[in-house]
Amino acid sequence: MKGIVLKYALPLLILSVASHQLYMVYKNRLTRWKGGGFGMYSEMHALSREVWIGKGDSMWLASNPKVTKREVANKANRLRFMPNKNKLYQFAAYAAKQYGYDSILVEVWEPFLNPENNTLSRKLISELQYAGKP
Amino acid sequence: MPVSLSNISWHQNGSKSLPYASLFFPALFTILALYNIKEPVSIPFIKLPFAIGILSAWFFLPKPFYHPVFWASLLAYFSILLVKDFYGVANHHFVACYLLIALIQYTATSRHDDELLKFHIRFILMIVLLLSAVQKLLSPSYTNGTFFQFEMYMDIFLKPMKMIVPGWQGAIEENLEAYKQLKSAYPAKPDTILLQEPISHAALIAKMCSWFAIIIEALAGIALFVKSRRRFSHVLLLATVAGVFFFRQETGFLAMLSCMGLLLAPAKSWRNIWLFCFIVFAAMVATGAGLR
Repeated sequence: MKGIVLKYALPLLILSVASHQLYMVYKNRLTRWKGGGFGMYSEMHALSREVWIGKGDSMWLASNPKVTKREVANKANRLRFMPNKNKLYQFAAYAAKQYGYDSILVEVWEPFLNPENNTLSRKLISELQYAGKP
Repeated sequence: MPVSLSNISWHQNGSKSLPYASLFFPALFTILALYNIKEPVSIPFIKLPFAIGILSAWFFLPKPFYHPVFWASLLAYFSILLVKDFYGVANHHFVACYLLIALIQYTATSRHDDELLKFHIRFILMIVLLLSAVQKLLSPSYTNGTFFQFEMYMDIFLKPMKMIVPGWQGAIEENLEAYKQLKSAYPAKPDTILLQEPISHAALIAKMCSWFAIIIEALAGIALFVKSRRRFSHVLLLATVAGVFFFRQETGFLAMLSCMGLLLAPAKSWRNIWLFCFIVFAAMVATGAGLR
């Protein structure tokens, strides 16, 4: 019994981490690159995503520390790795508080390459309109 | 009395079934140390006592690499960052932790079980390569080649091609400039740019390379688990390592793969190949010529 535990405990741990990572990819929008699932170089890196925040008519790049408060920029950078509704809400609430807004729009965009005609554009992969705490 | 290199104790510790263990241990320790030295997110005051513990174990234990305390100190050190940033650390941080757990198990028993260590290393190698292939298969942007094509156009993949294909460098520079302009504006405006192909039929090449990578990684993973002592399995692993190195200089990760290849090497020639790979990759990490 001890021998079986010694032999299979580590493989079981590895498979558990990998299964958890896949669950997080499909349920919580974690990037395949992270979380111990060995999905590096299998999709666009999260660092190529852009987080834009603002009031709708005026938007700015939240992940750029030159135009955004440093802490907001840091959190925006983290958001790119797991842009699910819950993380978007947390980020939006934080950013709204930092800027003294009642409401704020948060959008996450990703580069999109059309292989047919070699054109590059960006597509919206996640967004949230924050209107204050309920 | 002159001391011959062959008399140094760690050269004599390899057993019959794991003849290159004596090289695997210091190689693994070297790359783990380099990985940490180069780590961008540092929490020095939390890590400091563990670093002191590791160095003390290294200097005071008679055979540190054969003592579980040494590897357990390293695992504790690695676990700090894992707990702090589970969804942010690189995948080879996980590999490092798995290897350390395997080594703790190996060294903690009074009779070092070579077969158990070999099983764990084979399993880790298999899962790394097989999961990498599965994740690629599950990703539509990878299987249709667009991810590969984007990385190629943005000077991330296939950097050495600049020196081989005329016009490659110029096309990449134009693409990077156009992309920079694109990113400077809010995306809702009409914002499509035309990218230059660095080589004709780039989309087809990207798709073929994508599928080739999936097949080689999956085959290498399975072969190394089922027949780790076969030369063919090591040829497949070497093809994977060479492919990754050519596409993107992920030298820290490749050094870890080389370490595992070294432990499972079927012959002296393969020991030398994996040792050479390891030295080159570790040197690239140390000098900043490659990624950590």
